[in-house]
Amino acid sequence: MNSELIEHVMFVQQIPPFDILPKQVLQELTKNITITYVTAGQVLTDNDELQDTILLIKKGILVKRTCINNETSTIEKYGEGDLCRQLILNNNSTLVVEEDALVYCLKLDDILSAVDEYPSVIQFLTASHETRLKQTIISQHATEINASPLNNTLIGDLISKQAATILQDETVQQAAEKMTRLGYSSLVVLKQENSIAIEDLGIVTDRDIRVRCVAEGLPYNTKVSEIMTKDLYSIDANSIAFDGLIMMMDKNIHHLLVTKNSQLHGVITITDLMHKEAQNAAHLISVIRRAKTVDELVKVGVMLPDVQLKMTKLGIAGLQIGKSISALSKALTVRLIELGQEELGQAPVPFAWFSAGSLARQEQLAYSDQDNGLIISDKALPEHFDWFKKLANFVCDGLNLCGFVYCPGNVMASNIKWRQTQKVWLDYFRAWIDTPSPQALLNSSIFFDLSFVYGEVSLISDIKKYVLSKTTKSTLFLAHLSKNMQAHRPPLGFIRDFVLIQSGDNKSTMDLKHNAIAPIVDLARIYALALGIEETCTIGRLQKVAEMKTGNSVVSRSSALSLIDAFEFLVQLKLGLYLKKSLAGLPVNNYLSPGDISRLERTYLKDAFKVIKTLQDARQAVL
Amino acid sequence: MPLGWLLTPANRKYEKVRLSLLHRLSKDNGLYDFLSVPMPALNAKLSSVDIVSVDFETTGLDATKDKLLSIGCVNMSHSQIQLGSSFHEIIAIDQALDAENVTIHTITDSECQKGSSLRQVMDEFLKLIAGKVMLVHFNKIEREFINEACIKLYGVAPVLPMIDTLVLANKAFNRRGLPFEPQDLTLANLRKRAKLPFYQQHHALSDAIATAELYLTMIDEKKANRMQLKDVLI
Repeated sequence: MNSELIEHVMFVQQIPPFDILPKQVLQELTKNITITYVTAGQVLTDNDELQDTILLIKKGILVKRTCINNETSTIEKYGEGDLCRQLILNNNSTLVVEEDALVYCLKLDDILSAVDEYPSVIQFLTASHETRLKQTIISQHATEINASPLNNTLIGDLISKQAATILQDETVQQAAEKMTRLGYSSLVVLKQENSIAIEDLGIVTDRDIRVRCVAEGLPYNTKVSEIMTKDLYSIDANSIAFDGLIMMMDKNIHHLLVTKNSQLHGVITITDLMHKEAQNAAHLISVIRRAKTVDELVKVGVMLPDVQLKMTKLGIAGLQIGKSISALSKALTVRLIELGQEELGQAPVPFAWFSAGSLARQEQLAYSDQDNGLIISDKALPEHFDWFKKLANFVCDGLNLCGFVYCPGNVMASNIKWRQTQKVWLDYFRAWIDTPSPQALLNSSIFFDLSFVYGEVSLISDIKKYVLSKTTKSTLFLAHLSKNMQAHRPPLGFIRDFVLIQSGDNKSTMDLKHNAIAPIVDLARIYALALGIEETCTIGRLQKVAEMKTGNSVVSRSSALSLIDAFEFLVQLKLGLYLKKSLAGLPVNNYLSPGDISRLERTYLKDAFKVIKTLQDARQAVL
Repeated sequence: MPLGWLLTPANRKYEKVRLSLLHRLSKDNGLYDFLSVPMPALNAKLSSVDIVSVDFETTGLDATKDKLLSIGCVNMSHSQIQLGSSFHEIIAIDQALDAENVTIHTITDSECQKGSSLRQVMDEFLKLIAGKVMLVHFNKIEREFINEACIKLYGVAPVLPMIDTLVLANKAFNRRGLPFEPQDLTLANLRKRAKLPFYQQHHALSDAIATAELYLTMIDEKKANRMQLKDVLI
């Protein structure tokens, strides 16, 4: 049989995961395809023919429906170019033909033997939504490494100081003393003075002293040679810094000798390399700290969108970017408060400035609005409040000029409602938790993501402690939060270039922030409040859930991990969307149209929707 | 416009003809094996009949003068097109291709020269279609070119029961009393009407698959279960 790749087959070639396959494999694969035509209204049940079959829609629309307690609901729609993985059809679901459809059927067994040398294809076809999402996050991390500044730096450039040495017959105590004096975490051990041939060298580190000497109960006069590490790895000063990082990760070591012309030049640690990554943002923060006027701050502030785009282009992970931008935004706020105080004089009573929402969660991105508030000490007298009003206006106006626009919901310290004494704040929280009303919670959920920015930290930590002590016990409050969350359901999927929403209608765009990212933020908040987790950032909250030793009744460990993957993917997608819009000269917003993203991204996005929906449903079941 | 001239009358007695032809042939005749395989019965349930969808590319429409350039075919059973059974062969001919013609089928002279001989291709093709019912779009071309080739190669024309999507469409238009023009009955236009996707036209295998897909939109599995072969055969 010699069917060359004709157009019928070319179609398969464009559909992930088949798009990575070479021609011969595709040809082999297509031998196992059968084409069928199904007509509208036809129900494809899980009979033998469809068992373990993957359907590729060439034309028309299929709908996956589920029936629970006699209630039928649409789970997903499949249109042209969509893969319908029949194997995840469970007993309760059926496939219904909505529009006459031409369907390519691929028996899973046949495919798997044709593509057995392509594990990523097999993985894509057989893995659950959760696993698939995990895989994309792993590969995202891999691209991030490629874009790392470490790829553009030489090892030699990162060495700031010469290696310190010690003779092998000296004692551990002498080594510890020398390390402490020099502020080094390691010493190179020499066989004898001036013998710096690499093969004769050893290294002794902080950790060696702790693990191999102190913990073992050896005396302090033990010779360094007894606890040092021999057979060292070395790297030439002219190597790319990233290779050094890889070498250390590969060998699971934290120190590398650096050589120049095969002679000892210095030592580099894994921390030195990691530090390099953070330098860009760190530099801007120091500029902010030195700024003397609001104008100078504004100059930095308006650079943030560019910084963010640059980081996105470099392929740095979305969460990392969120943290950097949040850190910069926090530094701007702190500096504005300081400048405000220079103008207004010292505060009459202690206060604490806090951020709420995305900044508090360290998920702020340029183009976000500001959410903040002010907690004033209960010692404040009526005449003091004017000072705080002036400060709040100064800071909020300044942030607005810096590009963090006024909060449309007026959640700002400049709003007197959110500029109150600690006592009033405690009353607010008590009311929200004890007598929750859905509407009030909708407006106040932002205050359950609270983080300290400036002033007297105890004013905020008292409130946070109080809040967690109450929320962990208040099922009614959690139920209301869960109910509100149901308003933000992710879409069902995509059909052609349309977004399919819950009602079954189509829209041309979806709101990535409200219908995908916010639901995860909401879920993580609910988990944190229910389980008494102090973290405010979404990933941190979910990680704390995953780390909990004993199981909990709120959410499983694996669900928390899947949510982390989904969140990372979505944030990355959002940044990519911003980048694309901004390069195209379009207004930067959260509206995503299916045409904007690749088929592969669509698949992962749908996987993320599934993870979110499952956990939203789980919360609803609790109600 | 009368379309009768396009259509060949139904050959209802194909089994009788097959057997009588077989008796006249010696065993070493190239058609002997092909004619030894019984055809599906006229009253066979349509869904159980093995169908092979076939398309030819030729240098022109006249089988007595023009040459067969390529053959494509694919099997269909139980209303499923089996891409694994795809067959496509180019036939080497001893004449230069007409430039205008090449723009249609896009088989170039050099590709054509690399092709196999008519005898090789026909031998293999006949093995694939033996005992099956051929599905074509506009059966005149395939029928006449096969007959010409067989007479040339084996000295006798075979019996060829066929299903023709053009004839099915023509009947459907008439039955519904829909006015239509001849160009409405081209494979491409009928596919468009059935909302089938675009495909690579004038490539024998691609056209064969395209024809099979069109057939499935006309006679889906449910219909095929209710129908007999004689309802569609010509």
